Amino acid sequence: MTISACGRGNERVRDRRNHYLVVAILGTVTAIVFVFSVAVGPAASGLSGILTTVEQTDPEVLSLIIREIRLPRAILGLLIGATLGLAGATLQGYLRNPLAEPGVIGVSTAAALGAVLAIYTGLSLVMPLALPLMAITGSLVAVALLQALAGSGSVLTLVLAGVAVSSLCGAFTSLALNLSANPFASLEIVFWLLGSITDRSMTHVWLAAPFVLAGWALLAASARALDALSLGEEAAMSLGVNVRRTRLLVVGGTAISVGACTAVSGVIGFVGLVVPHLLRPLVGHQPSRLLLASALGGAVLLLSADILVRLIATGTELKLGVVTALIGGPFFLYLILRLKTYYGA
Amino acid sequence: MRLKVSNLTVQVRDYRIVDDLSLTLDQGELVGLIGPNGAGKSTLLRTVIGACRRAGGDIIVGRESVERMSGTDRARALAYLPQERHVEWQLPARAVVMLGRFPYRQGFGPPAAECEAAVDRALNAVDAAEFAHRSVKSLSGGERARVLLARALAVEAPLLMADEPIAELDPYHQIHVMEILRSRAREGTGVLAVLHDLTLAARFMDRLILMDRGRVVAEGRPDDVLSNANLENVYRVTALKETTADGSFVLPWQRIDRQDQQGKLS
Repeated sequence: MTISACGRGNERVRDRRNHYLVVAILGTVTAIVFVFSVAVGPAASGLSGILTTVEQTDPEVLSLIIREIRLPRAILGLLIGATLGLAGATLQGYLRNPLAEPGVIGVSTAAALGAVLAIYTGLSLVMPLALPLMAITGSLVAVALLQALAGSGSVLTLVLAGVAVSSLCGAFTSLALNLSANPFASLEIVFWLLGSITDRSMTHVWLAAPFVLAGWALLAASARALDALSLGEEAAMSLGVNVRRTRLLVVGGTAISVGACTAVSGVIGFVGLVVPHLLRPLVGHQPSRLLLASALGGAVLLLSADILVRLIATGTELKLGVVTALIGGPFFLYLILRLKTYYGA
Repeated sequence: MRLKVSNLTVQVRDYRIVDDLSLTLDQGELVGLIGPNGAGKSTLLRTVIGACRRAGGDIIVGRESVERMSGTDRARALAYLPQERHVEWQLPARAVVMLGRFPYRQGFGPPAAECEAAVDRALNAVDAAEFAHRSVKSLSGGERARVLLARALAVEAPLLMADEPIAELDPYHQIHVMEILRSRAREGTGVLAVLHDLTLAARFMDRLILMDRGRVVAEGRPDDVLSNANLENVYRVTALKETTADGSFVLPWQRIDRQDQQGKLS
């Protein structure tokens, strides 16, 4: 674990080969969990169930269920999990703060506000795609705001601007809930905010995928600079890193990809915080190496949580965002306790 | 290769941190940049690498103005060791030193043999090879300072600027680092180091540049620059000076009250 090994000692940090092994294992696990995600649902639970269902269900019905319901859900789980893991790792590397996560720069709250406005105004009823489109617009507005507020400022200014954008969007979301005349709309807003990938179609996948992939490309392009930034901004600049360009890549990439994910799933927290933390020691603590591993780890965590949601039998289906928060919250507390022990506070 | 700073001015609102300053650094010389706190030494170095905006003046590395050079070209020509000693994440010392090869590497593949060799040379130069595989966070302050110096040496640039390379080091390691810088200079690197230790500055440096309030107030051989008048006017201290068979030393001894100083000057 990051913090415990901060103490002096002769610990040897794992070498490059381990990193490839970690990525290969995570890739395999992602593939397995993805297949499970496609296979598991109310129509079949557990491996034996899948086999029975395959034998008993009309092949056409099963193929329809898989194509229209489970496959989009699994693909979205993969895209969203990977995005949150990747964006979390990138932001932690860029801000040089192990407690950073995509929410810290306010893009998810801004995207949520866009979606909430779509529900509040009734636009989402007239045109279902209005919701994700307005959410993406929300995140793009957030980037513009961040750039205007903290374009050339320090990392601290960026975080403060993120907190400001986040609080402002949170306030407007509350206002929309407060003023909502229609209780059904309020309920829809609340449920949407909890975060879920149930009942999504391939349309959602096609809508989110281009933004998500573009965001990934931007984040990946910042990877090398993140390594140099572990020495601080000045040293990184002296090594030829363009710090301004790196910030644009990180903030823009996070906003586009996380914004698009929030647009189709609602707010899903903690994945971007937990996953990079768990995987960092396994990749030798190097920020650039963490990105791919963390993307795969995020996908594994989110797909697993989504399978869990389906397997836990409750009257009302548990929301994915609730499950990740239930996993992430205690983990965050655990981190604080570790930090407290480390700093002796 | 030569670093030439001409008429450089760095300004924050109305206050000039660096004021119409000119200096040069040539390959093969070891130059000390000295001056009291707030004289503008670190700002000068930071401006050269592009971290501070300048209000006027030129910075030329080799034949080109820094703003016309790409970040990578400048990084290859001019290495910089910042004052900040903090390294985020528990990177192995070797990985930290390898960051010095950043301007020569592209993509994510394993480093070229040439880069590995440069890292080995840098680690050996600072005697850090034995703990190269340890996490940089587990190292003592002195060990970490040597690893960070090795990081700057690994660039193998013709020019090197070091901001307080011996701060926070014990006497043994202070002398060690000064010897490393001297040997680098003898091998052909132009070294500009910000120093507060006047004794080591007098002993090791070929040339000293004394700064005060953003300007160069004296420049030349250490004995000339560290004159009693300069020490009293710029540092506001008196010093004990002694010349022995091994060389001369300057030991700051007593603070001069500003009022006393003004009385003396008038």
